[in-house]
Amino acid sequence: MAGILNKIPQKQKGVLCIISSAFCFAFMGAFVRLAGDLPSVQKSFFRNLVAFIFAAVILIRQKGSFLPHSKSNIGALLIRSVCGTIGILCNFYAVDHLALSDASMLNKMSPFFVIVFSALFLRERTNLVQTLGVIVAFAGSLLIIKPSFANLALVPSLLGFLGGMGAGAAYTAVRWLGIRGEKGPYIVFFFSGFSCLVTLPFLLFDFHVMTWQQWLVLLGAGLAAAGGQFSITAAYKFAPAKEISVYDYSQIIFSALLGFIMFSQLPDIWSLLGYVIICGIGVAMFIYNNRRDKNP
Amino acid sequence: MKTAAQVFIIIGMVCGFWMILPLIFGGIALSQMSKGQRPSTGMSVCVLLFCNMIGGILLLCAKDEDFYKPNMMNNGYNPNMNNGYNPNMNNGYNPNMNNSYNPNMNNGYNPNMNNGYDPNMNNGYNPNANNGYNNANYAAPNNYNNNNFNNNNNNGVQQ
Repeated sequence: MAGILNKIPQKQKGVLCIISSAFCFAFMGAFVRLAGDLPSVQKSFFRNLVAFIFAAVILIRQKGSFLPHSKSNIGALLIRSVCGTIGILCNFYAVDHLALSDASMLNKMSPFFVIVFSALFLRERTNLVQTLGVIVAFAGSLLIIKPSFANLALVPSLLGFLGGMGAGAAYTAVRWLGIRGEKGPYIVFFFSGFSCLVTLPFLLFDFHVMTWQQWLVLLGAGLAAAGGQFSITAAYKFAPAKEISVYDYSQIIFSALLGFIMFSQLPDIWSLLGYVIICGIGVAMFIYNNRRDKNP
Repeated sequence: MKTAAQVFIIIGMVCGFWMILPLIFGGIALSQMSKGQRPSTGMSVCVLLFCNMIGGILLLCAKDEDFYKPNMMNNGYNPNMNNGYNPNMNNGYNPNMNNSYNPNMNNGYNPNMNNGYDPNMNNGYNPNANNGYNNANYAAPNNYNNNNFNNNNNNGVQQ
């Protein structure tokens, strides 16, 4: 088996890893939905607890430090954790109240928010194509949110969009931390620990008793999330982000499939149009960035 | 691995023919494979997502060599390759051509060419030396009348 894996080209390994991470995250969403009528905070706690245990085990195995690389990174670590926690809570709320694929798609707005936040806070320059791409993607997201009072799912949709924004802010902070030498496992460890601590009081004072099926499903959500996290880390180890990031959009297809199979959900025509626009812009920007790197 | 991928792709195409997308992506991937080309990474991912997951994974995992046809590989001899002799090639003699002597034409003898004799060279007999005469590329014209060329010319071969 190891022999076969060694023969696969690095890029192909990266693609397989990023698709398996998309598969895992789609399953995480499905498990979160399957957990039923539990508060999003409770679901988020168990999801992060599993990630925290995994990250701690990795840090111990790698003999890494449980302290940040530099004291100056603590602020960015806190920003990453706060934004990440808000992102997860909003995403879980959206998963509970929207079609699985709609919630995933709104969460996949995060790369566009990364462009906006990187320009605002990291002073990274954006060109006209990127700006237009972000505008069109936001327009596409409006087709999913359907901002009208007739839309009963307006609040979950807006929260799903906010979840994408939170994830985008968190990734911008991760980028800043990466530049300053903070290691990936430590960022996951800090974020998961922070998220568990923040949600713990809510869990203690408003704990909903869970059946053994719900325990099992939430454990599955945590494992799927951990699997997705490790797969995506491995993917970016095998191949550069600019070559494989576009395949992350496969999560929408997996989510749509799981939503249909497990919950009989079918996105409406406007949502489908929104998916096509956002994924299309994502793919177009991927191709544009690759061409620009080849012919600077 | 290629054959297994093909089998799974065909299964995906048969099972999902009513959705059209499996037919499109499976068909493109199969036609590329039949031509001895490796489907691109994007195409393999599309097969994985829209046609057959196992087939797509096998396409991504397969080695480049799996996709080349055996007869497309150069094993030293390739009947389609020019192996030095080609009966359809113009070997210097064309019965439809004016085979009379033309002093302006290069009739095989070029005084500036090294005809095998070089006073500074070892002019001894060398059976391995190229003596200017090559069966593959030379056919004696019927009414060859080149006075500049004769068998007494020292071509480096003791005749």
